[in-house]
Amino acid sequence: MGVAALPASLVPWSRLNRRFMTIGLSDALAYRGTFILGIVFAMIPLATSLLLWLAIYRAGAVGLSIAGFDLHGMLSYYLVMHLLGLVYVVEDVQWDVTQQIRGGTLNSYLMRPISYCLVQWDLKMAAVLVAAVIALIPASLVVIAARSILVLPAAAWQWGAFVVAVLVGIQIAFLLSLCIGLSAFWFLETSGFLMAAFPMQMILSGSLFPLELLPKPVYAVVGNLPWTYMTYFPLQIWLGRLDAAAVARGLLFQAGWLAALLGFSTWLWSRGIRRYEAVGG
Amino acid sequence: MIRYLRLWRELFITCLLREMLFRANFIAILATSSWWFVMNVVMFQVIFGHVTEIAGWTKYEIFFLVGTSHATFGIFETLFMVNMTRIPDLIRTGELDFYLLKPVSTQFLISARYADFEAVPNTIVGFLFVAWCAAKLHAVFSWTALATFALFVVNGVTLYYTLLFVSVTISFWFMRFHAMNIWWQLTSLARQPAEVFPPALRFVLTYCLPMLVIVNFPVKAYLGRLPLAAGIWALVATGLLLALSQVFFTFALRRYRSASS
Repeated sequence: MGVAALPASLVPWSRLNRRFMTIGLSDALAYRGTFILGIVFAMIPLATSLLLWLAIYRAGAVGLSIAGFDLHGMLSYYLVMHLLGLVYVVEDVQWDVTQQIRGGTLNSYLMRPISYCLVQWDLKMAAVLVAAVIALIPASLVVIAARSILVLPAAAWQWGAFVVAVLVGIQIAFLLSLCIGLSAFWFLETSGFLMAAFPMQMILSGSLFPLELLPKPVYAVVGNLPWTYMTYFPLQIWLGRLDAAAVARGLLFQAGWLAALLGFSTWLWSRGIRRYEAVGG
Repeated sequence: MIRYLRLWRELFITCLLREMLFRANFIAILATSSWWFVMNVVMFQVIFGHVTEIAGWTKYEIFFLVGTSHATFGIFETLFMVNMTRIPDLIRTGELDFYLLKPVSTQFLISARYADFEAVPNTIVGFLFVAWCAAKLHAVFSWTALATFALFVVNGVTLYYTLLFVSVTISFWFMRFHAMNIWWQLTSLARQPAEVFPPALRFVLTYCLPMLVIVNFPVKAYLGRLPLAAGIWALVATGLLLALSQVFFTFALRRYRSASS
């Protein structure tokens, strides 16, 4: 498929899409105060989980290892997971999309000569960009304050693989949220579903605890779901838990999920839009 | 006092009737609002797959704590949460006028006007879970233990209410101050077993910003681990804070200038 054959509206780097990115940027910057305050207070739950694990390891034998995590590995896991969480700000898309489908405001997008899903992508990626820049402040604080315990990737290739895995992970997080949002075409009242989906995603992406702590048969399933490839897989690379072969295989799996979700969301959109009744339009 | 309790009951029933008008939504919410609690239980279940105790707490003691926290905050959300989020708006829009005109305590009315039934199942689920944990712990059942537990749950809800009410009262000065977002994060402190915190921090969280009194105290009281002095202190502190919140609110009311209309 030649890119040249696509209309400008479908090319992510076209001028039209850059325009929407700019809108997303100013949107995200307008709420920077809230965002920074959010960062400061989100430190409290982080601190409590760090203290919780500290207490667990203190009570155990010296050099205790839980599912292959020693104390420093575990604390680094939560620190880096927290920083990633500050950057993965794409989950709002499920609320935005649901709202626009339900309220009928989707209409105004349908009339524009641009793909709706791509606009959402532009807006969210701009938000990610702003978040990443702002997150540099807490990130450098963490690196300075926790330098004695923080586990860092040892080799250059691990740094590289980590960055790639994070970039793809953000896309997977975006597409998963988009698919959940698009389900509003079928279920007009999805707020209950969304409320349940969010905590589930938190567990499956490893935000609550390292997935390898799960019983082995459970991890064998969960470890292959797309959520694992959002944040857990990049963290495994960061902590040096995977050798080169495992990283290569993981990246391949990640690419596979990315393609599958891309296909699935496109399919959901094309089916859903046919059912759309433009309520209130 | 009796008059206020009766008024509160009437307000509660009005809200329930209104909620029942949207029955489908009501049922959907009942089915989904305990997800965070389930997630918390899953997390500790997974951790206890690898260790036998956390900071001196065994698995079912921790579960007891998780259940109590779910129920306690459930009660708070049912009775006060919506009201607390509305107070800054009442001040900003001048709607507070209508409340000031009523022949009852304004603090009572703006705190108890609306009940939110989304959190009722949380409370029920929380208490059922606590009962199951108590059975698993083979704690000898006694009415005294249950009564002290109930007393400290009520104390915890009241204490949390006063802390929040004082924070939202600050909106009289800073209209755009949203205390609720901050408190949501602070509650994560209350949900932890107290012994997880280093002694100095534990002291602060018991006596200065008494988050650990809210959930930890009822659990410890039930398990017979709450020193008498600490228990008495908790009750006195709540009473004092409640009185203080009233004084502060009366003082803050002087700042109120009503709407611009």
